[in-house]
Amino acid sequence: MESLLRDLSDWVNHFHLAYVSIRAATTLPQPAEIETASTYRRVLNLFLNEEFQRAESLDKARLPCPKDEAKVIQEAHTFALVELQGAKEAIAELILYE
Amino acid sequence: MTNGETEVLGKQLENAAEFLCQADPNQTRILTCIGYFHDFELCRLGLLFDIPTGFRHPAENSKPYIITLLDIWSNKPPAHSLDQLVRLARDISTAILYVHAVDWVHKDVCPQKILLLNEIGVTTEKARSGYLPQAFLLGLYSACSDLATSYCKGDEDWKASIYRPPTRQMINKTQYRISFDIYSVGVILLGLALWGLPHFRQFVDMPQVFEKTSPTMREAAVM
Repeated sequence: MESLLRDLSDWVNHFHLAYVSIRAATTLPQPAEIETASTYRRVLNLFLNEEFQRAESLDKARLPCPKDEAKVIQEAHTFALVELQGAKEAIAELILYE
Repeated sequence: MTNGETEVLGKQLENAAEFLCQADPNQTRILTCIGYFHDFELCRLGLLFDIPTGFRHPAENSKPYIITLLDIWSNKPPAHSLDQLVRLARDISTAILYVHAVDWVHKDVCPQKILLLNEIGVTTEKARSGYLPQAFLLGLYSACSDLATSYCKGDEDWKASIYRPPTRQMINKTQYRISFDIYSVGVILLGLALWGLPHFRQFVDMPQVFEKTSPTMREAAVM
């Protein structure tokens, strides 16, 4: 019980500090991150289709089905493993729409 | 989905990406976003997340796959230690705490949105013998500021409503609040605590309890 209480106390302190840090960070302008996001968007648009086709060989069962089958499974949200340039793997969260 | 709705969803995604690119997964249990995309041709959009250092996705016979909390709940009763279950509960709560710390509401906390990743070094034997992977929260594409206007969209699918409070189940259109996320975490923790008890089935396996019943009847049946 003593160990549990100590853990709990550490946990609360940890979150208090983290909470303050997050508050501070989110009030600052973040031009670098915004630029990074838009850069990634441009890069992704270039190779996205090819990358997702390659991903299908990695995890076919979990990839979204073609658009015309989407109604059948009624699954509009899924995850997939994708391989980015440089053989780096990433997790894609996909939302399908009709 | 109309063009206008797609545009709104795309904008939501962009906002989420800007927020999530700052996440430290080890501390927040939220994966770092490395980009987003909107593929108009294939009618899909989404976010890309980095796999945190020290972790990898599970693989069977060198074939990688993705698992969520729902997937492992569907397995037979767990052989996990209480410590592991408590750690999992803590990780899920931590992620939600961080989402709320910046005044965001997740709006869809459920086991399908809790991704599990193995630590590097975990052998296949260990993974099969009671090792519980570490949890990371996803599904933040629809998250928004607590103060932002909620679109108040309901969901007719009972499976999607299980983890939402009665006032926001099915097609009820109450505006989403932080307290609703906390309710969802509570239902997940309940599932985690009951997981493995004799005769217990996960909520998604109990259609008779949730389909065509009122919130009061559901509460009575589950509790």
